[in-house]
Amino acid sequence: MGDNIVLEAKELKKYYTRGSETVKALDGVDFAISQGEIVAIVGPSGSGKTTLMNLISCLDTPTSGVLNIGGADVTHFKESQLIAIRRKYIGFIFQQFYLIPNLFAVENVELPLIFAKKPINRDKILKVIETVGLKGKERIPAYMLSGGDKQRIAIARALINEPKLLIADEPTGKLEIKVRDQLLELFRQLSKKGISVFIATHDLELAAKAGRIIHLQDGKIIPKEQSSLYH
Amino acid sequence: MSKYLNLAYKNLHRRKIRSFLTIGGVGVAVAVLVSLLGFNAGYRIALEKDVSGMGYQVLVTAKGCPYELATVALAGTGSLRYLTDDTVAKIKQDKEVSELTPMLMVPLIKEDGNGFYTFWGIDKDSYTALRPMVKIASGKHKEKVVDPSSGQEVDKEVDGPMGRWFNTRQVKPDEIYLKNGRVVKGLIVGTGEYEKITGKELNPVSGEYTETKKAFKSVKIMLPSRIYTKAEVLSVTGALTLKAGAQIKGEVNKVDENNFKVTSKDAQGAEQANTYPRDQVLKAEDEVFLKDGSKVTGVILSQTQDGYNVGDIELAYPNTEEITSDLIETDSQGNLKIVNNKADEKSETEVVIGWEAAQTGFMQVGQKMTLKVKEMAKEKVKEKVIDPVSGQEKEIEKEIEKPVFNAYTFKVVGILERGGSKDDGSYFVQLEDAQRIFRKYKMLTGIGIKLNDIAKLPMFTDRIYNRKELGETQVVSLAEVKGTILNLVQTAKILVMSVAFIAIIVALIGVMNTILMSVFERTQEIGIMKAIGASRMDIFKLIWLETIIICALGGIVGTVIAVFGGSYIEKLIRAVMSKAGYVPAGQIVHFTPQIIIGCFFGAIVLGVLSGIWPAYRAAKMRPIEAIRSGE
Repeated sequence: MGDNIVLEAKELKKYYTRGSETVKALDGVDFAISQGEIVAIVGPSGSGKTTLMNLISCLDTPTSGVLNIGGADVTHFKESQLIAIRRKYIGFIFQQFYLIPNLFAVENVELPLIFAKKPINRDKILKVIETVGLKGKERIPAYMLSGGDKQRIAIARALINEPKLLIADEPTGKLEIKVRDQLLELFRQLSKKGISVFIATHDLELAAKAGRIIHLQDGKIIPKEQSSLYH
Repeated sequence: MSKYLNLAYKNLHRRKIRSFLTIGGVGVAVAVLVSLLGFNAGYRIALEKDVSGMGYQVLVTAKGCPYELATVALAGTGSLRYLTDDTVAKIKQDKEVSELTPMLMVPLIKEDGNGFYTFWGIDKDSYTALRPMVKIASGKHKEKVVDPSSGQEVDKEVDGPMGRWFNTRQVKPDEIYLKNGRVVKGLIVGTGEYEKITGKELNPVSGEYTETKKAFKSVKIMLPSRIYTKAEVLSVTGALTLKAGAQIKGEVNKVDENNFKVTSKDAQGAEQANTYPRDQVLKAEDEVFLKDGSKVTGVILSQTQDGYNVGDIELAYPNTEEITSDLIETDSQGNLKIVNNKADEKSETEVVIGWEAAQTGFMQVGQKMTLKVKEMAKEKVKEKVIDPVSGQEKEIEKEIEKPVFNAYTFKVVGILERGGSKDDGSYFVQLEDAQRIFRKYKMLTGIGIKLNDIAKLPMFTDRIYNRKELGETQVVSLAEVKGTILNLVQTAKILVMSVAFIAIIVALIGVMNTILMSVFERTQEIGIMKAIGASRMDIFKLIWLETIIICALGGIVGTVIAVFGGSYIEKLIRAVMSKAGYVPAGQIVHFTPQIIIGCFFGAIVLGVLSGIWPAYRAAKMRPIEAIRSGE
């Protein structure tokens, strides 16, 4: 694994048992993400996108295989170790934004700092908010922000711990096209700063604008030509 | 930590109504607890003050239930038993007695039936000597005086003592002169007239009976008397005491206006009779010789199947007797010869009142005070019934008890200094006045005693119990009284504490439920927090903190309610307890810093306990499932 590899998955498998039947959500996935790369992962519903997201964001553990994040194999990490990795390497953005509605924008952004027991650095927070283009809206309660602004705050929240990898689950799903493009532009800026962005999406147009597209179907990575999304 | 606090606070704020209700629930539980503990502490303090404010260490009362009577005597309620006032002199003979004072406590039920006017008949000199804390208040005040020019009552500004103690006056018993030469002394409580059938005469022509009726006047007199059963009595004789000093025993009778005849039997059984002129006679008495060797002298009022009712003698219990006119001497005009020593009707009974009694009744020195009271009176009523044998209607006489509304008028001559004890709400009158107006002739409810050495109390008690001539008395030390009352309160306290305990359990479950609900509602949010770096511990702390905040706020609210509502709680307890038993004067709900701080921390402990489970549930949530739960 080279120095610029942020994340590497080898033969990554995740099986669930649903009643008597075993669901192979991920059935041997290999890929790597380099520093500053924007990778989109596409695939139909049930293809294993979300499972993969959960695994690489250390919210879940694989059944087998190897997952390297920041040079450490997290496959057999305990909860407390996973939290440490999550705090250090990963920023998470959700389709529903999931801000704490009655907290101010700025308070939402500082939450990860609180949990990571890091000092609350005002300047740093304001700078991140500026980065996502919401300067001046810090003292607005989250529930009063527009959808696009909410997602920007969610991104700022994801960035505050200076992650190496930004994981976005359908980040534009609920946004207008214009806002979507603005967001994409923001991702590009971030990638230029060396942050890798990993986007899971249905949106092929969005995916097309990423640096690389990984097609996932039935828990496996497949070539673009075999993807059912194009048929 | 402050950041967690802020987060927790904002979470609670988001669910305002629910949070407020929960805080309210905790508040009520805490308020109940604070009030109860405050009552517990206050009651103890007030009782302590009441008991130490007595001034005497020992109370001699008539025998009743042990302690309970003393409790009642302290309380000023309930049924009382009486001593006779000659007991005072007898107890005074005991070498251990330093000071003593006779007291007659009369609780008068207020007209509306709500509570009592507590009257104390006291002997001013001995009472104030034993209880120096009871004294006339002083300061600027208004007095009612009669303006000499107009004869009207007017207010006058005075700076100085608020009146004075009453003027001691001797009240003599009423006297009824009997035809056999004896004088019955007591308190006349009523007079009446009635007709009685004295004989029947058969009219030989009509075959009907003619009834002879005679009208009687009667005097009802209350006098200390006691029935000696025939089993107790050995023999009964009369005695005529001459002014020269000799005592002639035998049956005493009056021959005419000026001569007494004493009939006696000599050793051989021969009857002897001697006549003595009235001006030589000092007094005529009966003597009752008892089988135990003792002798009682007095007037045999009546002879019944049970024994002799002997009146106006030393060992006696007050009793009401009706004396008919054919037993009473008449004067030259034919009027019944009765000396009525009732205190001058025109001069009102003087009363000295406690501070609180003055305040609540808006009483001023010099003012007339009329108290309306409810008394239970016995009344004879006639009732028509059907005779089961003859089937005919007939009248029977029944005695029933019914409430009578009465009013007593006094003149306020003094107002007492506030003492923070039971005295503040009491009314003091001269003992003899009390005995007369409340018809407790020669009766006492208790004798307060100060011993030379309180350590010798057991010996003193033994001696009193061994003195048969004191009758049925009991000695109660005030330390015992206090213990008994505290025991009574303790029992009630356990009951009340269990109620408080239930309130706390309910609050605990309520808080737990609220927090658990909010945890479930925020499942996703908790998942997100975990996704952005929160550990289990972080989540646990956050939720736990929310619970603790709710309970701490509830604690503050409850304490504030209790402290500011204390006076209402006090009123409530007073109202409830005055019906049930003894309520000390002064503040009975007393909040110490320990209670307030203790209850506040108690509320926090409640939060700590009730928060554990919801916080654990929240911490245990798996982030992925939590996040997905809403999708």
